[in-house]
Amino acid sequence: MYVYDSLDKTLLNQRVAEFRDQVKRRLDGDLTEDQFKPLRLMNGLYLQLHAYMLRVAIPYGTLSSDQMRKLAYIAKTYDRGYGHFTTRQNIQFNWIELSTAPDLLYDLSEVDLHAIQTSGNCIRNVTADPYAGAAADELDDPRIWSEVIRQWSTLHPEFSFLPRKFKIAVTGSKADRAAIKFHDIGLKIVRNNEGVLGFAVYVGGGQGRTPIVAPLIKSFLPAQDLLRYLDAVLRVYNRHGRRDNIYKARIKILVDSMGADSFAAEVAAEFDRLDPELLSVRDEDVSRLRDMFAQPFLRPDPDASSSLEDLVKKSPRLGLWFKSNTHPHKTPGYSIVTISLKPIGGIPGDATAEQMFAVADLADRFSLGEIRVTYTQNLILPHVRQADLFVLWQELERLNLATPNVGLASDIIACPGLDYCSLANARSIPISQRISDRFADLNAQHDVGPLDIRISGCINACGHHHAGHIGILGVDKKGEERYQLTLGGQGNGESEVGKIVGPGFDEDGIVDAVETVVSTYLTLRTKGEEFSQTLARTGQGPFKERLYDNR
Amino acid sequence: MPFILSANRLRDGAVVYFAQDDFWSERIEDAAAVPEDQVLELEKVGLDAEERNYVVGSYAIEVAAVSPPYSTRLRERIRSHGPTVGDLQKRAAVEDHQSRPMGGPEG
Amino acid sequence: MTIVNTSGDAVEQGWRTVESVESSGPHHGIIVSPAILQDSFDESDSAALSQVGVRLTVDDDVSEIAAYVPHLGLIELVFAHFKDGRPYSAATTIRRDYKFTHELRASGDVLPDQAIFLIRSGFSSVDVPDQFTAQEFKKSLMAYSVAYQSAYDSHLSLIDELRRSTPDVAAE
Repeated sequence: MYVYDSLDKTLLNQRVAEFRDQVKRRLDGDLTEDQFKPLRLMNGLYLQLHAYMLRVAIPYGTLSSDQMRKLAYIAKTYDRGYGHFTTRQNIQFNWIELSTAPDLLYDLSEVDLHAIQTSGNCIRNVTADPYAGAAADELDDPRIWSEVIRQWSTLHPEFSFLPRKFKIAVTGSKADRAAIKFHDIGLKIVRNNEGVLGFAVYVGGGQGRTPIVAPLIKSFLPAQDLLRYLDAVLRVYNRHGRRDNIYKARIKILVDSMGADSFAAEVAAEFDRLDPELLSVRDEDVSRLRDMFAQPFLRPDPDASSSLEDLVKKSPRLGLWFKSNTHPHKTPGYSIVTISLKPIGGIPGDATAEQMFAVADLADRFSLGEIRVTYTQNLILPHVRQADLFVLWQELERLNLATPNVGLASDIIACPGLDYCSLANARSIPISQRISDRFADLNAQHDVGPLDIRISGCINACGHHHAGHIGILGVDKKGEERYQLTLGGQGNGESEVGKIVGPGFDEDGIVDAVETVVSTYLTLRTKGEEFSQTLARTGQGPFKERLYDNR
Repeated sequence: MPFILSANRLRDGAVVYFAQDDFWSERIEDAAAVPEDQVLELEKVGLDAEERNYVVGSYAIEVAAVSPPYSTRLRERIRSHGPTVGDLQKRAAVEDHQSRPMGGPEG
Repeated sequence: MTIVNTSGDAVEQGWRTVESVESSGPHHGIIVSPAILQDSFDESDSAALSQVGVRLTVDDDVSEIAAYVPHLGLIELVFAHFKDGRPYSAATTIRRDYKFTHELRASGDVLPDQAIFLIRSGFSSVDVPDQFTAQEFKKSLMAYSVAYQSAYDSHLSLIDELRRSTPDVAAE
């Protein structure tokens, strides 16, 4: 993992001190709310419905066990004993006071954590493949490049007051587990014909009011030119991005209105004007980072899987868990384990301080002290010996963290919605809970197969509903909560924007509608056909008929 | 219909309601209700409190009943009574998570 | 009105903004709009232009006065709103593409908390808004002794340690 050096620590300490001063000036009245708001947002502090909410950055979704313990401590000390893992690999605390937020940030800084640029119209915390460094299909570790971007973007003098927020995601694998094409910039690590490492660069994707799958702007960017190219993209955006209308201010609107080709040409011209010396990613920096992220030695254990098969036969529930909650590791005899934060009927992404402490201990025991956070609001132990899986599973069961539902119907992505968020129009969490309860039978969920249900409480789409196989958008219709249903989105591997099926539903109706969609799929599917494949084959027609015929 | 005045307290972000004089309460039951023709004065109280850096984002809320005040807007009921899903820890103790602890005219 | 330099110290104003220019000179230390600049001055008269400054709003395009830029004594970029960050990129461009080495001033709606961003983007002075003091700008400039980026920095003395390679020193 990345280890902070004296420069990182100095900068972080100075940031904490600066924010302490900003809070004092606000409380003393030297800063108005209008002036203070962008400053606190750049430090991840929102004012929500009930209190301040602090969003802590989890850089590219990687946490050490000590960092997780600190998050647990924060939950206990400054919050009401829990935290909420978000849809962007961060964690939010819901019950924060402004006056003690500087102390909280100081505590976080002791383990090199912070809330820098987790909100505001600046370059946000970079996200990456949560399987980084452990996946077999990886070309290069995206964390190396994410860290390069983290440093470049932190307190960037020129790009801290952009037209709108700016999100960058990196993947190093063939399977896109970071949904890069739904980001302002998506970077896919590739090699060209000569074997040179570089990036395919996608610019102008996003969800929100105008969901767009990012077009390819540059098919091969040599890795050393990464920052020079990002600098050029950001300058073109800062100069030309719209500032007259918040809904048209994202770079996706600029790229769309200019056309991908002329946008790429303008970026290329800006790129050529930039001094290569100044922004070139230096080999020595890369190799320093590469050493830090190098996978610790794992002794291959090729015999592990056969004894595992025996265990699975003994416990069907373990078998389900092994099937849905583990993924092959690049080292034989190891697994990548997903800790489900989606208990049946639970709040997606919420974890208690006790659970966080316990996960930290399990990471020390079974995963070299490493934890990952996924944008699907689960946790991951990336390096688990298969010989340890049975013990780990028992521990997770005891903590209510072993629901065998990863990638299935009850592994629902949901934003905080109207229960917490001041932007929301409708609640998300209760809908996800009721859907989860409706599909409580885990054997049935496994029979239904991969199903990606996502819920947003407003058009900002923090719940990524556009990219769900089944997407639900909460709206306010004359004071009543209504829910629109979309089908056909893809956010895992493929990128596709779902389409609205028809008129919306009320709270009871949307839960029934989801069940209707699933049962329709079960009658339509051919052998081995997953939900998204069936939908792609049949189109929305048969689903629409079943949903609206009896009305 | 009558109106009450609400805001978030600057120091801790808590939802507060204007009660009387300089007093803002965390309980909606304490909120002062005024008739519609006094809304402008009520809003001015809020702006003054913002000016003094005591609250932020003050606004008047139309209420359908006054004792206790009841807003027809779900958002306002969630602000005054907390998340409908409860705190996670509280929730663990509650069997029926679909119950909604929100006050209304019916109780 | 108070002008602070790259160390956050208040300095002599030295320039005055004028709305029109008499046909007969001399014109010492005046700041004019781009239109007046083009109407009243010859782009090749570098001696006269060294005594002239131009004031650009966020909607003005510096490329329209490109021929004048290298000779000007001062360029002032006016922030329409502190959240509108276009002048940061304009400053970077003016330093880099036009090799402008004289005073680059930020004015309009800026916060003390933005001082370090301004200076590191290439500004060499700030017109402090009435609501704030030079002292607040100085304090903000002193908040950081380290930086990750090799920005177009006219003010390296405050930065003890920089992660990336040596930056260009653009001004003064």
